[in-house]
Amino acid sequence: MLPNAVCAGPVTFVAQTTDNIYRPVEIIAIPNNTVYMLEVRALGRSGSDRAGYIRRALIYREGGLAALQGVVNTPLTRESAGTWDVTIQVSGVNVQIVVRGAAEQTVDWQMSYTFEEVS
Amino acid sequence: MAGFPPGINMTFAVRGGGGGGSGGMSDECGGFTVNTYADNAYHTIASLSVVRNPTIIEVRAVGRRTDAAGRAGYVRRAVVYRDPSSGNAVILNAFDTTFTRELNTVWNVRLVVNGYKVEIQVRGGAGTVNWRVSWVFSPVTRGMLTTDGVYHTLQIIPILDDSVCLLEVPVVGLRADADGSSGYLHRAIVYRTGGGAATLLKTVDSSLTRETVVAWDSTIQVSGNDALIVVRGAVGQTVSWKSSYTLEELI
Repeated sequence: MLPNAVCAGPVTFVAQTTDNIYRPVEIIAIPNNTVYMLEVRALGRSGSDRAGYIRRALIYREGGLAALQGVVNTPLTRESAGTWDVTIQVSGVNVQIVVRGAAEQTVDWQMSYTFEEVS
Repeated sequence: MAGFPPGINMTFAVRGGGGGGSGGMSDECGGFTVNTYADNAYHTIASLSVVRNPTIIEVRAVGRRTDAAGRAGYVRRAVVYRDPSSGNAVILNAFDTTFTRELNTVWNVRLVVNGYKVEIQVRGGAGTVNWRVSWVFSPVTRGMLTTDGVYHTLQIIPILDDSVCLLEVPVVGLRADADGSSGYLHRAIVYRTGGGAATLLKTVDSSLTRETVVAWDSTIQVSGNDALIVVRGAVGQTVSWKSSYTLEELI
C-alpha cells in the first residue's frame, strides 16, 4: 500500500504586529505519526523599515507532542530593523509560524507557506 | 522556485515571469511520487527526463519510518545539462544539499544521472520507510545571447512604489559555439518607498552557483524603479541565457 502523503501551498495570509513580542500568526495542527516539512516566506513593512525572510523546518509527531527535528533553517534573512524576526516553533500538537516586530511600531506582514508531509 | 510553482497567479500579489505549471505525477515542470522501501539501499524513486537544457531541479523529500522511530526531510538542488556529444544528462559540479534534517544519518536523498535522465534516489535505514518526494524544474523562458564579457540586462521587473518584494530568480546559460553551461539561483529583497528608486535590502543571496566558465555570472541589480536580471558571459563565447522569476510583494 502506498504511504499517505500530501502537500499544499502556497497558503497565504497577512498579519500585523505592534510590539516586540513573538506572536503566532498561523497555527497548523500536526497529525499524529506524521513527518511534516514546512517552508515559510515572509515580508514585513513599517514606515521606514522592511524585511524579508525564508524559514524551513522539519516537524514530527510520534504519539506525543509536535517536535522539531534539528533546528529551524534560515536560508534568507534581510532586514533593516534588527529586532524583527520570523521563526517556526512547536506548541502542543501544533507548529506555529511566529513573527516579531518592534515596540510602538505597526508592522504589516505578508506570509506564505508550503508543506509536505508523510505518515 | 521553492514554494511557488512557476507562473502561479496569486490573488494578492505574487507575480512571476515563468511559464508552465507544476503538480501532477510527472510533467516537464514538476511532479511528485510516493513509495515505501524496507532496506538501507538507495532506491530510484523517480527518473526524470532532462528536457530543458540546462535546467535547475529542486527536490523535496520527507521520509518516516513506520515500524520504529525514524524521520527525515531533505531539499536538494542541481544544475543539469545535456552533454553535447553524447546527449547524456550531467549534473554540473555537484548537487546542492540545501536542507537536511534527519534522525538517522544513514538516511539520504541524492541526485544521480542515468543516460539522458536525472534520478532521485532515497535511502532509509533498517525498517520500513514511507517516502514522499516532489520536484520542480525551473521554467526558464526569457532568453538572450551574449558574445562579450560585460553585464547585459536579461529581464526588467518593475517594482511598485511603497512595496517590499521577495524576488527569486533562476538563471541558466548554455554556450552555443562550444561545450559550456551554468546555472544560478538568486534571491533578493527589493523595495521602493515614497516615490524613490528601487533599492536592494542588503545583498543578493546567490544560494546556487554552478558554472563551467568562472568568468560567467548572473545577478540581480536595481536601476530606476526596476529590478534587473543581468547576465555576463565571456569575450569570444556565444552564450544563450534564459531566466524567469517569481515575485512576492507586500504593498
